[in-house]
Amino acid sequence: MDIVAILSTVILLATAGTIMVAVAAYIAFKVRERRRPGTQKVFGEGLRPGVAPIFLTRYLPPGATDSRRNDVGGVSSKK
Amino acid sequence: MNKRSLARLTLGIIGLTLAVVLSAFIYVYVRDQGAGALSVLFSNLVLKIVSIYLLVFLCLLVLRYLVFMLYSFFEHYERVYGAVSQDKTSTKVFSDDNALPLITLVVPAYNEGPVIQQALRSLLALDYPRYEVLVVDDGSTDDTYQKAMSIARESLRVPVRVVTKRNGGKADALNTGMTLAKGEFIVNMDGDTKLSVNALRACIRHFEDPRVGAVAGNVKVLNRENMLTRVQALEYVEGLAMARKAQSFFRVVNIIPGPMGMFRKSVLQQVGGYDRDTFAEDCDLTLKLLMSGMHVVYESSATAWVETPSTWLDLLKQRYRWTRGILQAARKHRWVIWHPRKGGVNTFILWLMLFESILWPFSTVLGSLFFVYVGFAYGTISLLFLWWVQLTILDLVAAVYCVVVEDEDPVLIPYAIFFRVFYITIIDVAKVFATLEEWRGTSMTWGKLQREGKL
Repeated sequence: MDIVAILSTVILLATAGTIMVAVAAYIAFKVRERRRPGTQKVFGEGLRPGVAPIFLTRYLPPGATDSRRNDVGGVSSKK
Repeated sequence: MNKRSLARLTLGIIGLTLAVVLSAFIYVYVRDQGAGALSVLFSNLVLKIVSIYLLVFLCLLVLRYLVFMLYSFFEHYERVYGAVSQDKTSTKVFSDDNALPLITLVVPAYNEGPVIQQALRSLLALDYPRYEVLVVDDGSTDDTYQKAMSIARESLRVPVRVVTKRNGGKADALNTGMTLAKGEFIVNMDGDTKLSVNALRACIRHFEDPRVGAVAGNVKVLNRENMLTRVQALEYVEGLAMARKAQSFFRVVNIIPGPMGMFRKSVLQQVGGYDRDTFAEDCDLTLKLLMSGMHVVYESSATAWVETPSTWLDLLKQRYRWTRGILQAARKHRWVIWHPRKGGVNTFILWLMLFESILWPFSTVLGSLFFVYVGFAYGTISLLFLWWVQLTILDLVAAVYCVVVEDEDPVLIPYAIFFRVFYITIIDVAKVFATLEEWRGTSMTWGKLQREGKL
């Protein structure tokens, strides 16, 4: 049996096997993605149950009574 | 010549010799077999049509590789040998350190706890006189914020700001960073990226040309710990870097990678920052820049080291998002496909993206399936072998060229031999499915990769 025939057989079987593995891997990936916890939002965008949106604070106009916060547009800036 | 250069040269010569031998083998084999093995491809109409299509596709692929290698070589030559620009619009503005502008490094972070500190420490060691780091914590649920704050307190030379916001996605975090940035130039990166020390200096010089709106960095794989990650390292060098270098010669890099991209803040604001309607916001933004007429270039010495997926399922998740995101971005700008006069070189770029995202994976999967079918149905198994050899020759030549030019690890070259039959086949099958799902409008989520802290 010449070398080309041997290599051709190897490549043929490897390609056929790899395509089957590829399809199986993709199916596994989709199944895993569907079952992953947290992909379905329970409530609100990006919020989890029991977690208050602590990073979003109300904007207070200048001269307002609460002077402790220094928020701009709902973003808390700390250094 | 040091050991590494010698190894690179040796493996390069071996690789090229192998490619030449394989090419000669194909020629002799096909000549000797004559019409025998190939005649089965023309035995009926369907086989004939598919065979001709695959032949045309193979010619396009060879042309694509040759053109990219040629123009990436021109770009490399221009950079290494410092061809003097004759362009009258460029001026040497950044000639000394005092003239260098302030750069803001925007680091969006969502649950990057395992890697954020190493990433930030690498940013504090950059060789550039005036820059700041702005970490945008996108509502992380782990200790990302606390770890970033500890680095901020440590940093004495480089100002580090940490802002925290409600979770809104990467595009939203980057837009927040763009709004809060004090610098005239912004570097957008990922929360797990490690930059090379010279990255900022290397990129800023391109902005001496006022037409340049953004510079793409060179993304390389850091965690080369198993065969999968080493193959990805080769893919990044051969598939991504070479293509960006060739596009950079024409100043039309079509994707500024998320891990490393430097932008003029004014240009970012002009195009409206990042949109949130695609899953490849980096590609979408780059296309917006190109459509607005800005030049986008590539800087190969500005290296961003990233952690790539080390398992198959994580890799598929990443490539699924890339495929669908790129198609979403291309669809947003599809008008330019049919208006070459208005679009100019952008039309070519969009067609190239469609070729690489849709036609290429479909054709390689079709080719593999077709020749497997022919092999089993007609007993002509050598055709698949010839198909594989031709594609492997392309990969081998490109791998040798890229490893030598990019100063990469020569141990990556042998991976090119099995690149096509295993790795690319699995990736292309995933791309085909992802394309079909995008066409059907199947819903998708971001699907954050689990960080392993390999930085």
